[in-house]
Amino acid sequence: MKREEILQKTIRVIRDCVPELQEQELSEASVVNTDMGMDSMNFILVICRLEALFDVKIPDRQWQKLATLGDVVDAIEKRCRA
Amino acid sequence: MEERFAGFRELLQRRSGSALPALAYDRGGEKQLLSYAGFAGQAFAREAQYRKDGAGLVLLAAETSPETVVSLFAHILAGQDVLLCDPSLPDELFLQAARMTRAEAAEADPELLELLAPALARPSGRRRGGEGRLIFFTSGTSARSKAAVLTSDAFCRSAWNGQSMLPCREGDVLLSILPLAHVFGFVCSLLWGLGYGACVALGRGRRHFLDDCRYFEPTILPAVPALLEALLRMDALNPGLRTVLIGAAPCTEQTIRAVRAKGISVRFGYGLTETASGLAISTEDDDPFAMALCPDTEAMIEEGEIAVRTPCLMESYFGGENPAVNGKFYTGDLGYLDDRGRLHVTGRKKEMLVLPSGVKIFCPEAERALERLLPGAEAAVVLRGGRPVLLAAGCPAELAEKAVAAYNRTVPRAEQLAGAALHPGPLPRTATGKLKRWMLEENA
Repeated sequence: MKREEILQKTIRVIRDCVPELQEQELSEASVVNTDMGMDSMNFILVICRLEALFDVKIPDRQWQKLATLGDVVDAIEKRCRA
Repeated sequence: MEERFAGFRELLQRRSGSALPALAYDRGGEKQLLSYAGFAGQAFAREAQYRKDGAGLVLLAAETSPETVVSLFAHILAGQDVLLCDPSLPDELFLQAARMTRAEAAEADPELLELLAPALARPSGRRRGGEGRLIFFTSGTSARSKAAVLTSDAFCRSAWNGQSMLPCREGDVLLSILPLAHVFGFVCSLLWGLGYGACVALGRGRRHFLDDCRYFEPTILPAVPALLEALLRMDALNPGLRTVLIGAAPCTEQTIRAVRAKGISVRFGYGLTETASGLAISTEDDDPFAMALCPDTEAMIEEGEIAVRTPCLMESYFGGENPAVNGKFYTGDLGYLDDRGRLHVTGRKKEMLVLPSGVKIFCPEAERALERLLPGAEAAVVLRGGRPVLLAAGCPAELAEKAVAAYNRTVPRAEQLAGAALHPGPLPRTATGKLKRWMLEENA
């Protein structure tokens, strides 16, 4: 799966889980924390949905290190390739 | 009168003959049960093993599982102190926690053990004569915060306090999805249930927050407000649920109403890490935020601040500092007692922000870190729309944003700042240089 495709699917999941972000422009540089109106509970929901969608598992301790949307895409892409 | 236990040994001994389930858990997609007899038997067997160890203080950072719970009890029975840590903490905080407490052994996954190995102290062989103690960090298990040292007796008294106000029984299923490394999670989602014969269902981890209620079908759910709101939003509460116990952070009246509309009783607990949680629990009358004091608790208001006397109070902070004055502990919370003697908490006196998730941010500490990233500028952390933001003075907006990004890389996700704003002119301060936070809140 191409990186751009992962990014677009990830953005759709985020918008679906966090309705407040429907209108907000999101890019790889977007910071994935409360900056996006995403509290820690929403973040958990997003990651769980992404894991199911892409059939990957990002280790719990890795979650802490995902700072931007690009980091999330990196983590998924790496595991899709594996 | 509810049964009271003097420690974990007594609690286990009283239930060691029971075939009823103590723990429910998932193994490979199958629901499993461990009886009280089985649980006690395993804990006593493991205790004998741990008595041969030389470690006086063990850092326990494993995921919640029956093995972790057995291990935790066994260490305490063996006279070893236990520092409970959330396994998802950033590496640096783990290392700080281990060094600060001089942990001598650790139980965690292999990756974490490798990380921690160089930070562990040499086993001292200094086990306690009686039961070991539990060590909890006061704000979100951050190694930068203070570590409270609490006895198993204090925890059993806290569980008894809760039970006296809100009984659980054999036949109840109490769902445990809160981190056990937080006092509210430890007492209300584990010890309370085990002390009074309920079956404690150990949640399957963060990935299952939303389906654990349907999977384990609890009758009682301890939760923090953010979790409860997510469960409500996703319609994930099971039909058999009869009680939700909320703690660790303020909850909105709207959420309480929405849960009650489902026929579920909502109770709100108040307590601190230093008091092993249970001080007061709301009743089910007109005011959902009015809390009745637990039987062992004496509360008084001094200059607006809530002070308490309770046998659940910690021994001291790690290192020996004991802030209690004549057994009276000043909570740092503002509140009042109404004409029926019910406690109302109105705010925080100390410089701490409590987020809707229950996570606490100690402002001065965050501000010092931010000011190191913004030489020559001033920094304040304030809440805006329920989210923490940097309010900076004396620097351009771009630098403030960069400082936030750099700061966020050093703290747990739940403590990260939502952004930065500029304050017009210098930050308002008292004559002694302390920030006038109430003015900042208005300006934010």
